[in-house]
Order: sequence, then C-alpha cells, then structure tokens
Amino acid sequence: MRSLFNLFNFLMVVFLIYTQLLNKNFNNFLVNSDDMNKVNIYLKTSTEKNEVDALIAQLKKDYQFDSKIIDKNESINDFQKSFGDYSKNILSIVDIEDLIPQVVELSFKSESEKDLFLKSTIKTNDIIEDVSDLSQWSQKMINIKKIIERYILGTSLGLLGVIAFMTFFFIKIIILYQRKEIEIQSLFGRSYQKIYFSLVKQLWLDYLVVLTTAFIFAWGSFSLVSQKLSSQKEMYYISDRIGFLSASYTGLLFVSLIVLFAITSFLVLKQQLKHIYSND
Amino acid sequence: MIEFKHVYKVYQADKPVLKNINLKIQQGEFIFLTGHSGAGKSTLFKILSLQQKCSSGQVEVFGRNLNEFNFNTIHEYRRKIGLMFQDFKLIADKLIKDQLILPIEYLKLSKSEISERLHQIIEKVNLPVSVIEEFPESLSGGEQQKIALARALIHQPELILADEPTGNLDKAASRVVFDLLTDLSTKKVTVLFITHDESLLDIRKHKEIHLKQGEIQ
Repeated sequence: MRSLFNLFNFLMVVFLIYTQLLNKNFNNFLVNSDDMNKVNIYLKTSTEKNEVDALIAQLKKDYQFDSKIIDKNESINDFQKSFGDYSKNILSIVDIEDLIPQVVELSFKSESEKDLFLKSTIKTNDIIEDVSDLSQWSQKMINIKKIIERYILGTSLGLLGVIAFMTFFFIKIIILYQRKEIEIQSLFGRSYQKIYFSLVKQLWLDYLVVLTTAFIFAWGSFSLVSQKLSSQKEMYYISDRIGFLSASYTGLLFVSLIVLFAITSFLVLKQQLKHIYSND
Repeated sequence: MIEFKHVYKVYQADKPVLKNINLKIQQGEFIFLTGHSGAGKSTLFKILSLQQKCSSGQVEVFGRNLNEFNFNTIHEYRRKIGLMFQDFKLIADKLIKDQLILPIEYLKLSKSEISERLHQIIEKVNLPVSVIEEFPESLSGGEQQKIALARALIHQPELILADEPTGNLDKAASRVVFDLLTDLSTKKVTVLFITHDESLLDIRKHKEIHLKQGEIQ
C-alpha cells in the first residue's frame, strides 16, 4: 500500500510540474501584455541614423514613450538565430539585407496615448514606410494566454486537490492496515504521541524521497527533451525559447507541496489515531 | 484497588450489558470472573482496560476514576496494568523480543538492563531464552500465551487483567499459565481472571464473581 501511495504521489507531482512547465513555456511563445501599448514604425530602407534620431526627438515633444531602434543587422541576426540554416539559404538566394527595413519600436505609457499617435498624420512622414499597431495581434495572443492560464490554474488546483484527497485516503488506508498493531501498542502502554510521531516519521521520509525524486525526474526529462530539440537545427527556434521553472518558483512549488502534505497528514493521523485510542 | 460503583454499560437502549455493578477488589486478591457467553465478562474487562467507558456509574482503579483518562493520557494507566487476551494479541511481523519490550520502552532502560529483564521474564514463564529471536508464528499456542503472559508481567504491574487466557490452550498449558498467575497474587499483585473453564475453578478455591445477564449473582 505504501509503494502504491508513493508511486501515485510521484506521478501526481511530476504531472503538476509538467503543467507548470507548460504554462511557463506557452507564455514564452505568446506576446507579453506590454505589447498592448506598442507600435512599430517601419522606416524606408534608405533612412539614415540622424533622420531616425530627428524623428524620435520630434515625436517625444507630443507623446510619452520609450523607444527602441532595431537596425538592419539586429533584424538579420534575429532572423538567422530563429531560422538557422534556412535563413542562410534564403540569404544566399535573395539579397535580403536590402529588403529589411529599420524598425523603431515605441512603447507608450498608456493606450490612449498610443491611440492619439495612431490618429495623427505620422504616416505621411517621408521616412516612414508603415506603422503597425501590435495591440491587434497582442489582443488575440492575450486572449489565448488567458484561456491557457485559466486552464493551467484549474488543472493545478485540481491536481493539488487530488493530491490532498489521495494523501488523506492513503494514510487512512495505511493506518487501517496497521490498526491491529497500533491497537496492541496502545494496549501495552505506548503513548498516542509516540505512535503519532513514528507514523509521521515513516510517512515524511517516504514523501520527501518521492518529492525530491519527482522534481529531479521532471528536471531531468525536461533537460533531455530540451537537449534533443537543440541538437536538431530545425527545432532551434523552440529549444531557444523554452526553459525549466525558475529556482524561486521551483522552491515555492516544493514548499507548497510540503505544506499541503503536512496539513493533510496531520489532520488524518490525528483523526484516525484518536479514533483508535478513543474509549468512548 | 478496583471499585465499581453503580456501573451500567448500554449499547442498545433497552438491553444493558452491565446492570448496576458494584464491587470492590483489594490489592493482592485473585478473582475469578465467570459467566456464560454474553454475560458481560468481556465488557467488564474492556472497561477495566480502558477500551471502553461505562455508560453510567464510576470505576476507580488505583484510586483514580477511569473516566478521567482520555486518548492523551490513557497510556499512563495502561503502563500500570498487565493485559492478557484469549487471542494473545501478538504482532505477527515483530520479533518476540520487540513485543516483550513494548511495556517497558518508556522506562528508557539501557540495552543490558533490557536484556536482563528479557532473560528473567522468559525464564519465569519456562521458555528457552532463544525464543526471543523468533516470530510468533514459529511458536505453539501454549508458547505464544506464555509470551503474552511474559509481556503482561515484564513491567511488574500491580494489576493483571486476563480475558480467557487459557481459552485457546490445552489442559497442561492452561495449568502452567494459571499457576503462574495464582503465584503472582501471593506477591501482592491483583489478578482478575476471566474464564468459563470450570476445571480451573475446581483446582483452587479463590474468590469468584459470577455474572449473569449483566448482573453480579
């Protein structure tokens, strides 16, 4: 029974970690909510650096924003990094460098500020090729992100609930299995506290081993998958963007599972032992 | 030592198992508690061993009201008594020595002191010392009951409660257990011996409490 309990806990914890990994890595692929106030200005390919600086200075007079200039080289590097060998082939076939525009990314302080900017006559500026509002794309991504987050939160809470319930259930069964022995120990003078702590020791030792093994297993399997992906050039885009849970989040998850087990095991042990010791 | 004052035990409202039990047992007495099946002997034993509480009335042992004990303090009382059961109540997967030290583990004795006590008690019940390294299943019924007796005596209790201790034994083995228990009463140990074995009663004339339909006759 104990082995079954440990196996169940192991699987549940691994599943819980994978759920959190899914959440984290989905978010990495989806657009950040900050993008809601972002606008990209695509400049004509012939634009000089001083013209870009002048444009930003002029805009700063009317609007509040942070700006970031993405020049051609940066765009090409990004392109190569994302598409590996494919990018080399494309770059060799087409002289793509001449086609890639410079981009000025504007992050406005508020959405209303951004709307005012979009309504202005900025597009008629000589050096501007196009202006792109990222919020339309972001909005779609945010909606997907919200759905995924809700699903992950629900699944995580459900898993924690299942772990708590099954911990309660399994400990109850374990005590039921040992009931005769506990009753005999009680009849021959072993105190409630002594039996409680011997059971706690037994259960905690198992649980800590299971928990640690589950975290190591999840990390190990994730690293393996990540390594496999990075070894395949066509998967570079994915492998470059996925990552394991942060140390602080892993710690938080570990502590949460310990607290959950501590509360559940305390309640069930107290209830069951009191029942055995009770002489009512 | 033991005093029952107007004790009732009721499981079903109209069928009390014990009715108005009043009795006093002095220190060092050997008492036979007899009666047919269902007379209330085991219920009385369970009340005295704190496996159950009486429904009304009061039971005092060692000058303390048994109703005062709860799950947190019950061990204080049980460490003062020795219990024997018809089914021996030995733990199948534990060595005999581990079962024998159960009543004395709270004393925090040294290894040599524990070993000495184990040897003394095993000799007292006429078993070879090697038996402590065995599991219960390798022993005969008589040997298991002797181990149960040794466990009931190892902490030198002032009161022994024995519920049909010879119920599963042959005549010869019953006699050995019985003799060991009667011998204790000469050493100021109080023994309450629950039995329906009339042959044991014939051998020695000790005080007898007979229960019939929950009442003392």
